[in-house]
Amino acid sequence: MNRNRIKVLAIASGGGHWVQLLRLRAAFEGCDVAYASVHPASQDEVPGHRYYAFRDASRKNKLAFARVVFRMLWIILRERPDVVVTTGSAPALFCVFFGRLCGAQTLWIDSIANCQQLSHSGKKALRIAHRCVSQWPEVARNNGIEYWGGAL
Amino acid sequence: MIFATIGSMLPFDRLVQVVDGWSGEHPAQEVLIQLGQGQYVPRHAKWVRMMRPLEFNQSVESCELMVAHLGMGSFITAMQAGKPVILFPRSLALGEITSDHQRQAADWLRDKPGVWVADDETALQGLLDAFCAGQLSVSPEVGSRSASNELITHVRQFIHESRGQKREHKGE
Repeated sequence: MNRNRIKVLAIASGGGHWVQLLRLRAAFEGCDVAYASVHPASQDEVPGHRYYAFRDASRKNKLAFARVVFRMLWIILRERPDVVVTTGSAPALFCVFFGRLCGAQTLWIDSIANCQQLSHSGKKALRIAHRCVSQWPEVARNNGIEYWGGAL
Repeated sequence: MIFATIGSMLPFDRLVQVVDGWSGEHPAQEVLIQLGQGQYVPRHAKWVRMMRPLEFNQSVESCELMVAHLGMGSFITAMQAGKPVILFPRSLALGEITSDHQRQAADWLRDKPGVWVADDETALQGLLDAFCAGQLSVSPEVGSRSASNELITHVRQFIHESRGQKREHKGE
């Protein structure tokens, strides 16, 4: 890989999180981008890029949850990204956390689905990520964060 | 073809049951349902548990109507393909989802051209009937496959400023 290019790790859970992340691809042009999401088959949608699958897990299942946390650490150590960009959800918080510890700049874009309030994970991201933005001007204002436009 | 999908995560049998029941009453209509991990197995409609993303996109491209849970993935996919879509929100009270954001997003989505929100099972059946009667013929404008220029520009700027941040960090 070309060392002069900025290394971006773009990570999102499945469904709408992933679809919104894919809509940001134009922002990654010229960067060395790796993707991570929950379905191994999503790799088909980002041909030519490194891809990592991880399993989503709720806090209730402690073993599965621990596995997600270690997987996130592993992805960060493997990638050593300069930048972590995510559209959620909860598992990506760990990627942001470990990414930041390893020196990456971290960006949380709260899903457009959260039109009345920031998601639970988004509220945690306020304290973990370098930058957290909402796709709704009013939600952004209520949380004292920026609105950078929407994924639509 | 009518393509119904419950999204990608939790089961959503309520949607599958209504669409399948309706399919039984309208055998001439081809119906395909992606039902995920649901318990209810359709008796009338064709079904699949989970498709690979590219196969999923093909099903969207080849359908005349999409029926989906009120998830952003489903909504955005329908919009990108310019397909009319009926969105059926999951209920927090029934344990179909872990937060109530689908119902909250319903109000924002229901007035968009080519988008219909079914608030309950009866409304969903009514909208399927309306589709058959040719009343849901408006398609959403085929949207771009990229986020707004504003968001792209900001994200790009954030990424490229990271270099400077790193240098400052090392200089400390």
